[in-house]
Amino acid sequence: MRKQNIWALLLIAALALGFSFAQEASQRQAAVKEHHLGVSQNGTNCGICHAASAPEIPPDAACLKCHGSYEKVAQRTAAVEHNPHDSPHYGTTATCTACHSEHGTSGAICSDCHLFKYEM
Amino acid sequence: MKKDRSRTNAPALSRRSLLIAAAGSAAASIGVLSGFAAGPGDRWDEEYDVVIVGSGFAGTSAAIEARKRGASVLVIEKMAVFGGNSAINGGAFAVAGSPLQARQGIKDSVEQMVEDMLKAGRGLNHVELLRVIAEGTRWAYEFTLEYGVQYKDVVLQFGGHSIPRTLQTTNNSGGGITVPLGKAARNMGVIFRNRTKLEQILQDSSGAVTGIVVREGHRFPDEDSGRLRRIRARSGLVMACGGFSSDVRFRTRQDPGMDNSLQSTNHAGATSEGLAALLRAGATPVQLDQIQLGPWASPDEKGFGMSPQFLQQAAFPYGIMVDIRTGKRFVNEMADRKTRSDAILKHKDEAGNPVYPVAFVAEEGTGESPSLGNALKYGVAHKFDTIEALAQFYGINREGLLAQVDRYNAFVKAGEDREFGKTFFKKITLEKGPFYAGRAWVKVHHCMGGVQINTKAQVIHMATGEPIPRLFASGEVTGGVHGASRLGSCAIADCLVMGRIAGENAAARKA
Ligand SMILES: Cc1cc2nc3c(=O)[nH]c(=O)nc-3n(C[C@H](O)[C@H](O)[C@H](O)COP(=O)(O)OP(=O)(O)OC[C@H]3O[C@@H](n4cnc5c(N)ncnc54)[C@H](O)[C@@H]3O)c2cc1C
Repeated sequence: MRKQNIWALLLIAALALGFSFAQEASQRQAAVKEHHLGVSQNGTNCGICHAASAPEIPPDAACLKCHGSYEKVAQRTAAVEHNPHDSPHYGTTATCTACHSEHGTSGAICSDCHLFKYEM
Repeated sequence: MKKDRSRTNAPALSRRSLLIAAAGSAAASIGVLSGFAAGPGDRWDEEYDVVIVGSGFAGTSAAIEARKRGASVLVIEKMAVFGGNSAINGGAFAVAGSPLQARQGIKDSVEQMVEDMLKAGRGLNHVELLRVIAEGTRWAYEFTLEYGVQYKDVVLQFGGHSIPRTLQTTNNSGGGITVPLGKAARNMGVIFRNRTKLEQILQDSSGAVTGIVVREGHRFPDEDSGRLRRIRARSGLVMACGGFSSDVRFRTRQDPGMDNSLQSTNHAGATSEGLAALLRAGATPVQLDQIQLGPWASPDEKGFGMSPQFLQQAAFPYGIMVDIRTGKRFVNEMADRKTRSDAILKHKDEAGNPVYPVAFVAEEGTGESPSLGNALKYGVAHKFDTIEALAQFYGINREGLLAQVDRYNAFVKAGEDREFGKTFFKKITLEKGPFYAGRAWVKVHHCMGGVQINTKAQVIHMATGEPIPRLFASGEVTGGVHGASRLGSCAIADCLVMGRIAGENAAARKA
């Protein structure tokens, strides 16, 4: 491949990648859940959860900043049958974003094996 | 349901893969991928004494042992949650010569456990590993107690074991082990990183392992997701990445019968790429087509669910399983898993559709089942006052069943199963209701095959027959221990014992 072609390809790739990130970011801004509209300033303050500028899945600490300790979260759902925040399999260590999705559809990983239903 | 939990494992093309394909071909020529070669001058993003791939029993116990010896330790896990199959496991742990057995007057020995496992394994077992594992169970048990694991005060009789030797965590799950061990490891300073997938094992020109390439911020099952980073393992790399039962494509290549008409009990991340990385590094494959079907699964729920701890801990030991067309038993309900699964799998109609057998037990035999309540609640099991009602509900041949029940009751009373040779550990007949029943089918459960290791958990090179320097493996990714059929509750034994050995030896160069 000639040199110009490589640069042209790289440029196209870079633009396309940049575009897709930007596009994803804007789509995600539009999709913040209702109860988070306030904290995220209507979905414009990505940094409040993501810290980084690249669209990364936030660590549990980001959720717990507002929601308190994991144990507190578990207490709050203690009355739920099969408390998902204190299960036999993960105790109080199940990663928040394993089930909760801010910009997509949430779904309990429990459902891979169990017929329990949760409101999320 | 989020897409990242699909059970099929076709190598998903990522949303951006088309764009990246364009960039990738150019990037390759400017050196992104050349970072995979491990010349001495190459830059590491991070360095640890010991790096461990996988956060189940094997990885977590390796981490603790390595850290105890002063090594800096990183555990990577590709999934969002830690614990793999270990966390969703049933918490049943075979220990040869446990204090609980002694208290109940059960005589057991390392030799007897080895003998039971060899019999089920049909002699394919690598005996030297088997010995180390059986011998290590007692110490692995003590090790778990040290970190706060709790067991019920009962010794269970599992299929294929000649005596009761199975302990069970109080919460009936492997999570009762992985969670406290994981907490202990973190407190000791082990670093755990989720959504970080092993991409490749790096070796120097002599073949010795130097580190790994990972994808950090990985979003399973999007194969290409995450940033590539290079992590050095100064003293040792432990591969504890588990089996591949959820990897339909790969398991079908090993055994065409394991296609997607069968469900799996495993977590979605039980796939083969870690094994592939090991083979690329020169490891010896052992018995990869020895894939176990669990004979106690239910077609009425997904995955492992509630059925196994009902059938395995109640209906099979203390009741019977019958073909609904005849009402007759067809196998020793307490035989090893291969014997039972092969027998169950034959129950198909002319069109090849399953004719699910039904297993049931009288109330008296349900005391050891922790899941019956939930099984009833979610329709996986049902309760009946009479055998007739049970037969009607499941469409079982009534006369055949009633005659079978009479025969079985007589065998129990005489203390000898003259049909299938089941050992009656308790005298429980099918005379007095209520009865509890569920449909049984097989699901892909365990990979007996994997890479060859020696008793120090060193991975053996296929061409030289020598250990690959600084490369260790333990748990379900290794092969040979269980041969043709793993006995229930022997995987925890295997993973904890060999995990500890792997961690200890991987840290050895550190000292
Ligand atoms: C539902 C169920 C119930 C069971 N019940 C019992 C029981 O009661 N008693 C018993 O003895 N056995 C039982 N087994 C078997 C036993 O649980 C497993 O064999 C055991 O957990 C394997 O442990 P491991 O540490 O080798 O692997 P795992 O616990 O599976 O851990 C491996 C980890 O490595 C991760 N990984 C894989 N590839 C990569 C990669 N490329 N990069 C980064 N991470 C990676 C995986 O995501 C996984 O988390 C059960 C199994 C299942 C599925």
